[in-house]
Amino acid sequence: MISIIRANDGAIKTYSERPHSGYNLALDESVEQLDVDFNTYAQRFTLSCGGRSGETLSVAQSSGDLLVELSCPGESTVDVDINGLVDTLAVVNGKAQLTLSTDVPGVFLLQPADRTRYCAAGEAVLCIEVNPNG
Amino acid sequence: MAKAIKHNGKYVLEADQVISARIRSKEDLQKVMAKLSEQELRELLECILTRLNALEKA
Repeated sequence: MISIIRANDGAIKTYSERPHSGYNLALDESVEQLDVDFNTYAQRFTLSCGGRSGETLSVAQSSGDLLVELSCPGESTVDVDINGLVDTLAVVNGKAQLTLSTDVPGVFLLQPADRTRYCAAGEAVLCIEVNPNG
Repeated sequence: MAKAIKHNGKYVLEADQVISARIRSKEDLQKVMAKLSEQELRELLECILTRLNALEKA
């Protein structure tokens, strides 16, 4: 059993294995209980790069393309937000992939686009810093 | 945060103004060590004054 806290726009703010009492009624947040275990819920949408997930990765500029793997079991498509650009990826056998260029320095922030369905936390968020050369 | 664009099936970042400015600043610093023509010196001074102006406004 997990508890899910939603913002007033329906976006999932956080979820926990323990019963949540930390939601803020003044902000019109709500809490709901779901009969599913924490790991199953967390694994519905995960992003990884080079086998690493849920952390900030750092790479050098022009160090080659980065392959990001997305796991989204049971879905045929999934919407991903890449620095505000939302793209729909085809999911095959629960997996999808996308490629990031390291040609330009900056920060990539990848997260689920549908925040009412997936929480942008833990392994569902991937931050990749492309450091300038020199 | 810089925007991302899709190009040839890959996601590419748009140039970040702050990072680009830092790179140019580093390049300008290296230029100072070299012998400059009057025109190059004017351009370098212009860059420095532009940055100072931006700092004053920040």
